[in-house]
Amino acid sequence: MRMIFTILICCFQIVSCTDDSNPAVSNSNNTDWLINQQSVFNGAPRDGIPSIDDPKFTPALEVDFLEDDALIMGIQIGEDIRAYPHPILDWHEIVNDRLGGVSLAVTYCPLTGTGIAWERVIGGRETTFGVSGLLFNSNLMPYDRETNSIWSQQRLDCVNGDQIGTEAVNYSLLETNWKIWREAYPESDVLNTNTSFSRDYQLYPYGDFRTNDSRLLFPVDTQDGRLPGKQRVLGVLANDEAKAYLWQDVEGPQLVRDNIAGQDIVVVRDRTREYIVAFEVTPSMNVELVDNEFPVILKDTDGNQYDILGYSEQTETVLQKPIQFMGYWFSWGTFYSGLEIVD
Amino acid sequence: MSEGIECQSNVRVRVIRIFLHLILLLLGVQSASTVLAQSCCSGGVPTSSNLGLIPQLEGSVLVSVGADFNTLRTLKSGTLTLDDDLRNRSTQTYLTRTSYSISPTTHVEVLVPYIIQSRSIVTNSGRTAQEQTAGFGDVTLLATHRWLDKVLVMRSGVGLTLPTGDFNQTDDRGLFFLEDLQPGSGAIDMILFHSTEFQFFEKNPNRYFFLNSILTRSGKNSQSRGGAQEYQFGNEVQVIVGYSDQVLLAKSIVTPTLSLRYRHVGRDLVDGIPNSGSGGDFLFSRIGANLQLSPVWSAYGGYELPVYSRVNETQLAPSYRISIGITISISKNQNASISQF
Repeated sequence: MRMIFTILICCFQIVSCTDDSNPAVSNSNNTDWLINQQSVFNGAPRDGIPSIDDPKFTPALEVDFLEDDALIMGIQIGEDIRAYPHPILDWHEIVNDRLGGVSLAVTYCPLTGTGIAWERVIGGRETTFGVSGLLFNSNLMPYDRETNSIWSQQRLDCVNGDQIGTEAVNYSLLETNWKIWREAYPESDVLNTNTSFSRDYQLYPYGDFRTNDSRLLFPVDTQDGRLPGKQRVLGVLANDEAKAYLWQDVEGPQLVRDNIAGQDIVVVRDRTREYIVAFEVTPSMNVELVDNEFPVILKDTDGNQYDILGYSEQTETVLQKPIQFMGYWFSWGTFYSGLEIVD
Repeated sequence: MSEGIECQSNVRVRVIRIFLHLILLLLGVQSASTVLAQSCCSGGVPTSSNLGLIPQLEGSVLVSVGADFNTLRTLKSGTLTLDDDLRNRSTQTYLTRTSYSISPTTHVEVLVPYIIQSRSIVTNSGRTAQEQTAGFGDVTLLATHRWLDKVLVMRSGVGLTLPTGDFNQTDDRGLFFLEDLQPGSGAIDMILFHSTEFQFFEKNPNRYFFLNSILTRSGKNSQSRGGAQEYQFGNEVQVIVGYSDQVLLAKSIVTPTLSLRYRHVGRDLVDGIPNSGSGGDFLFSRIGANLQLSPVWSAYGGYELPVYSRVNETQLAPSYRISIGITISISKNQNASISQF
């Protein structure tokens, strides 16, 4: 009988063996949080959703892996114009990239539909960001690999760890569909599916999440019922105040002039071309819409024209943009409770 | 006389060695079986598939102590196997099963699991991120009644899984682990059990085909994640079809079993809404054996490989499963036999 027990133990020692050749990942020991820790939930292990750290790109005109209606997020820094497709970001959430000489982490949360880029140089040291697997109000929480600190995507700051309180340096992304982006920026580069991970990029990993207004995977602090939960709205932030701009009922391009906490902005929105974007303006600056020259959408009184990314060929400058990102209404409603809706 | 006993003892030791070598052989096979591994589901604690420890005589008690090791490392998208070997998920379940015959036809069974669940991922930086939970799981109670005992032997039962296991374990930061990593479900599950044996061989009633079905209706846990969400695991249907024989090997009774197990798992529900990345259909092949070491002691082992799997969306699917254990029969009649599916 002793032999039986011995063998039983041996068997389970054999099958219990795991590959310990890799050093273990440790969590930050810092127990201080800038947010209510009870609202932070485990969604996956750290790096269980793998970031793309060596992104590969394909010229826009050679892309054959995207449907016309696939959403992308685009950005221009210097002469580099790049697009990051949702069907790839749904699986990876973070792309550690470098464009226009700036080291960026392009982040996208498929559960809140929010995407924004921020600089990867923190405190003078370049790092990469990974997916911590944690969610705050159902929103992505990246971690920096230099200090293992936990960041909040939608709050745009570090909420736990050595970098606690540090604010991210942000770069807004334009969200539109692939057909429109290709028409606007045929010379751009597009993140391709050669990610070094085996995934079915034709498959959306969250079932009916995008369209089921009732469905949340993780709890949120508050739910604002003024709009359907999964309606995509543009949230614009200025001086710690937020407004949500609607666009899906606006036929053709429309210009909205507004002010958020003292900051003058103009918002251009167009359901037909599936975009909405906000720019900072001064009180004395007058701009008007430009028709039939897409992607140019604005011109000022000096005759300078600006495209949907805010770039002016005449001045070779880019219009300043307030912090903004597209996102599901439920997410804006919980992060910025009671925010004004501009329809 | 003593030589005879010694000889008998030596034979028994040889049989045990053969049995153990067989198990070690099976363990060896698993290392080469990754290519064959096609399927399986959302891990899970294998309580329902361990039901059916049947004492044959009234008043007898069977106590079984065993372990079940379920490994998931096959990443699947629908039926497609993805080329990703960076993930490993394992569920070790140490099961104590006690079965008591109230009458020759009716028995009750109690399963108490202790569960160690771990999940590891090799990260982009080459490091391994690992999570592990451990604790007593949900206790299962089952009562069955044999209502036909001729060429066809039929047995039906009902059971409950009680929320005795911890379902709100947290990591070192105080954050809740995901539901499928918790030892307990926090819900009361209902179980329906039915087994049919077809004894086609009149001269040997211990040679038969069997068909078992187990339906599990999962209950709701309204206190998941500290009460922030209501969670309900997917309902399950399992059908096991197989063949069991009994052979005499060096004067010891060995009962080999070959079977196929089909498992359908519904989607989990979060606040009543179906969750993505859960549920699917799975088919496993299983080889097992029970070795009667003495009228009191027996040992069993089994090895299971996936044959087919289809997961909803993308999930880590089981790659192999091993179970092993010993059973003690406590009976006035020391020749009480054991049925073990």
